[in-house]
Amino acid sequence: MAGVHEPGEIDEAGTQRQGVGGYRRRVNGWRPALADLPRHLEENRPEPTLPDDTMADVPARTFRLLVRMLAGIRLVQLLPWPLAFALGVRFNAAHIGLAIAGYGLQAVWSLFYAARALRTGTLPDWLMALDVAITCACLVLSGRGWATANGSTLGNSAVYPAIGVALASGVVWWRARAIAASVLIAACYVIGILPELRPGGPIVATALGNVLSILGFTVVTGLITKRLLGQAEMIVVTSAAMLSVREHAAAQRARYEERSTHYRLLHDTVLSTLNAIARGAIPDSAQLRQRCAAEADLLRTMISGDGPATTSLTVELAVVVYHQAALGLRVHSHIAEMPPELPPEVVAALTGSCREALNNVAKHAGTGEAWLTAQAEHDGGVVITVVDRGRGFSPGSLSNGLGMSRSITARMAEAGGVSVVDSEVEQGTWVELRWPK
Amino acid sequence: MAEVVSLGVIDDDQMLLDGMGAWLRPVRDLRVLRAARTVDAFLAAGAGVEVVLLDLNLRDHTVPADNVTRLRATGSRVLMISAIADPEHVLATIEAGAAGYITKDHDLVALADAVREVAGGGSVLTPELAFVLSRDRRPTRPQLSPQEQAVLSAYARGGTLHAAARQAGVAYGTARVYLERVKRKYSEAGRPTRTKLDLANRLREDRLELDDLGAQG
Repeated sequence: MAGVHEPGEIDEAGTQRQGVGGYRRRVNGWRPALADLPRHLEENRPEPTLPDDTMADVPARTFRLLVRMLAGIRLVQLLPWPLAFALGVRFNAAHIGLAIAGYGLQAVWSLFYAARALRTGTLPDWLMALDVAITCACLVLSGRGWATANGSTLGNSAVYPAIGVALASGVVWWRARAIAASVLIAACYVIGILPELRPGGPIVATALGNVLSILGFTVVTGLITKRLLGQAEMIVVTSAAMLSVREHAAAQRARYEERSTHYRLLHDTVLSTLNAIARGAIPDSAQLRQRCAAEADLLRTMISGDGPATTSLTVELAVVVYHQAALGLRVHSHIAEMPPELPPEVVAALTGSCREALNNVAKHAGTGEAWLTAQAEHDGGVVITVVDRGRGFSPGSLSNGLGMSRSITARMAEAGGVSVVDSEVEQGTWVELRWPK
Repeated sequence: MAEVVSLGVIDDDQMLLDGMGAWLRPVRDLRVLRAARTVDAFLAAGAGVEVVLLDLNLRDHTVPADNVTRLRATGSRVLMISAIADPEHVLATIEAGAAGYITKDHDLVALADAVREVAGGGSVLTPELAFVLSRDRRPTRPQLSPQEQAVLSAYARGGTLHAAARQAGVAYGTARVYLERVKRKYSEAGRPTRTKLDLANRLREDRLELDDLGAQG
């Protein structure tokens, strides 16, 4: 029938999926079952997206934004008079000289003030103090200059900027200094218009409105700014807390994934072998013993070391040692106190260099034994040595060592480490890998 | 033909005990006389053997160093074996008088060599033991000179003594003397020097070694 597999095919597929079946398939040409394991171990874990550390900057950024807003308001506050003149509004002042001096001083100063505030995003105390002083002077000059308000469509040119100064003092100087500044500004305004201020006169209502604006805006901006900056601080605290929660979760997941990797490694090797032996599926043979010895070395390396936890480097080295068994090389490994956190590229460089060094022992040293020693240094670094007692080579003629040296040197240098190869005829070869340099 | 060394094996793994005799049979000069799963059972069964292979951590939770002391009291020499180096107990058993420590992954030749060395009154400094000694951070550890520490650390890496000497920057003979001195310091750490005579002997030995050093250098 079309589309139906032959029974043999199904069996074949079935055995290929199972570890023990896989072993049975390979029993005549034994090789480590996990030839592709290091690739799994080295695969990149997706990094969780974390809020960047610019969150810590939020209060400062909020404040800079407020300062630039104040600068913008100030520029707008200068506009009514030139615009009114341009539109042909009737010009009616008591002392034209004072009026022009008041507006001119205010305009020149305000342009400097706004430009500086826009550029730096700051309002230092000296600038604020100068601003208050100049505005007070302008209030007096303009008040006297524009004094005949009757029939005039243009009022005191210093009032709008004065309200701007009051806003700024609320933002920057809240609370005592801001209130003092706004009271001073209001007082200067009143001094300026004093000649016109007759009880029951039409200017009284306007003056009252302006004084209340100067005082009231200071209080309102002061309170709002305080609240706004408080919320900005909350964002900093909250985002820091979130960051730590996410980091914790990421660390948890990394640990979980590492443990899963360990379990898979053990499942595919030791557990499969033990199952097969327990079922009586494999006759006692040299190959079985070789496999058992290799897997014992794997376990020994994985759980060796007197550190608190099995690190990824330890497991990676265990896998390297395990694979060497297939090349007929017994590796005695001594691993102690590996640093728990090593960058993945460093683990990869150290592991790859070890594999390369052991490959060279298998190929060139003429011995079936090698020693792999890994120790933590006091500075959080690692030193790994791969040593054999084989035929070695003369350090002068690096014919044997050059290829090995190049491959390992490049790998280690790229990861910020260093390697040293030493040898002597008939005294084996000594490869030392050190990270960091 | 050398004399036959009588051997005892103490291990809590019955399969290993059963297999040990068969495994050592091809080695003509070693014979397993007795095997037991605990020190009590071993001692109850009869007189001392020359060398006891003693598993480091027995499942009856006896203290490894005490086991060594009890076996030493019967005149046997003790060679520690284990699957995995447990630094604390390895150090304690060496100080209690064990003549060496060897992991179970070694082949028959290496094990037989170690047993012969111990039977002859020597001690065995395997790279795995050197590794444990070199990482001894106990405040009570025997004081090693910087050069002794350097040779020990180099030897722990597994190379030949020649290569270790080269790495530590000393002559071969000097390295050998240093390692002997490390072994002696550890074996003496467990038994304090008691008399002035002992002290004089130690001093004399040290002087001899210094002379030896001079000759090497």
